Amino acid sequence: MNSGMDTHPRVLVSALLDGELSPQETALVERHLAGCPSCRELLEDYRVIATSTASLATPPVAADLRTRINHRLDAAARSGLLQPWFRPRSYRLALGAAAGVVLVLGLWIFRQDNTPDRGAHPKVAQTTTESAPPAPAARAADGVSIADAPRNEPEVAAGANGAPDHRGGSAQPQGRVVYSEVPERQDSVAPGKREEVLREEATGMTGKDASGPAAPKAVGLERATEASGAVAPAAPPTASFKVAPLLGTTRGRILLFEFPDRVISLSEDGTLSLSSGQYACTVRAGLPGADREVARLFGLASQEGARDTGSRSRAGSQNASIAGAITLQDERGSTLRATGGEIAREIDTATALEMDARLRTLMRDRYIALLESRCGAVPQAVRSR
Amino acid sequence: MIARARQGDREAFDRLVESHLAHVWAVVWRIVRHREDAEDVVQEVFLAAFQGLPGYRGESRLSTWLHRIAVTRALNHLDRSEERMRRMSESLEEESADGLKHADVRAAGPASAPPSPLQALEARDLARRLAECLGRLPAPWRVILALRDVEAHSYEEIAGLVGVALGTVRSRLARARLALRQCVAGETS
Repeated sequence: MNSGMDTHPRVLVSALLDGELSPQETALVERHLAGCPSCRELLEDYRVIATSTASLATPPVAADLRTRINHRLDAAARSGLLQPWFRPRSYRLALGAAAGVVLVLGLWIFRQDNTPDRGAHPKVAQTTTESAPPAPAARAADGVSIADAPRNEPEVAAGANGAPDHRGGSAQPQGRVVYSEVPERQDSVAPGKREEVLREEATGMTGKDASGPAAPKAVGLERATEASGAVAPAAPPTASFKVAPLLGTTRGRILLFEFPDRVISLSEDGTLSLSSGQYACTVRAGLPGADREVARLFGLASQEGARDTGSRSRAGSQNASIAGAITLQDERGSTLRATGGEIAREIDTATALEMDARLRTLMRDRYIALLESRCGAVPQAVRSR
Repeated sequence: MIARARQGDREAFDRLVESHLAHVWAVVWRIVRHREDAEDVVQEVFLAAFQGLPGYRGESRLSTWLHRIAVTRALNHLDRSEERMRRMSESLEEESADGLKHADVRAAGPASAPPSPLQALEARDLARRLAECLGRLPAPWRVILALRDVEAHSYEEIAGLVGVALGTVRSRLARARLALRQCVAGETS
């Protein structure tokens, strides 16, 4: 804290302005100010800067920012990056439409079955009840709640398949971004608590096993460590990869691999998100050559391939897991191509198999290490693939 | 509305976005001071908020909760950016004693200092130059200035948010103000 006290106490003058000096320091600085015109001027300039900075105008919010936020939410939901309970609005519309189709179909069947008795008995209400089992879908369509919508299948499947269970009684699923609350008066919050929250915020995780691999760098942690003289924790390989930006910041098309025990979302910019059971993590590969491999996958997904003519039978069970698993989406999450679907542009099974193999290679050679650097050990079900 | 949004009601969340967008934008802008980057961060904030909403227990106001997400996301953004990381490392090097002496010499001026050029500026000019100079400041300094002079956080709060020691907040804030003063006044000479 010499802070130039031998000449002019610049740092202390600044802190005096903010009322952040002890009584002793305040008395010291005020004595200096009484005999130092330049420091008095400095204090006044600090005051002008502080008040002027506070009153600087903020540019208006872009007119389309809300729309972009909505698009990002929808895209993130479609690519499996949001909580399982969340579904994009189009999903809700689809549920509503499905419920409507079921209702109309039920009514039609009822009318076919009961034509001779039409008008004889008030059966419509009864038949409607019988033909409307998807009550949650109907509620979702009304906008009341989608809490009853189907859960993320990989979470269920992971348990069923014996994949490692990371729940461990934690209130929050591992690997998800959870923002801890702070009391209204933030000055009553212990700094340690804030740093803990900040670390969670910076890593995009909570509930992470502290004994896991090197934690990603939180904001300012290196600087804090440097200031305190503590030994810095082992750092992730920041020189060789760049931690992915958080949700919704991917660019380009998205390849979605929805397997029973895991969902992998790969963006054209190299951002990969893995969700398997309670494990969820997003990383971006920045290694040389990563782009070429990712581009190859997207190239395969885009090419006009031969229709399935026997390849399904050749590969047997492997095909069964691929069928319906791969979807190519645009930036907004709209499906462009898919395997096993009934859309016009279908990824043929042979191509899907090659894509699956290439994805496994990419995972093994590149992404698993990145995922584990950032979020801890990936589930065995993913590692063993 | 919050309860409905927590249940995954997208329309309710849309209304929350509408209500809080201007505030979140302002918070992020003051730290990032780059339109495209700030817009990206704001989108991240609301995505993260939607994801974290089930964990929001209503112990603080939603605006406070969002404010915190916005600040930390903006800080993360600055940390992520390679360019800003480079600037950050340079600025931290400048925080050596030599750097402080250098700043002191400039700030001290002659014993009988003339009226401050900064104070002589018209309000409009001052605001314009301040805005320009804030954009040029090293990110760690700008962040601390924003957290103190705009967000009115205490030094202790800033230390917790940024992850530095209390003394670092104090010295970094002083250096930021000195640098800003030099930058703004320098354009007048």
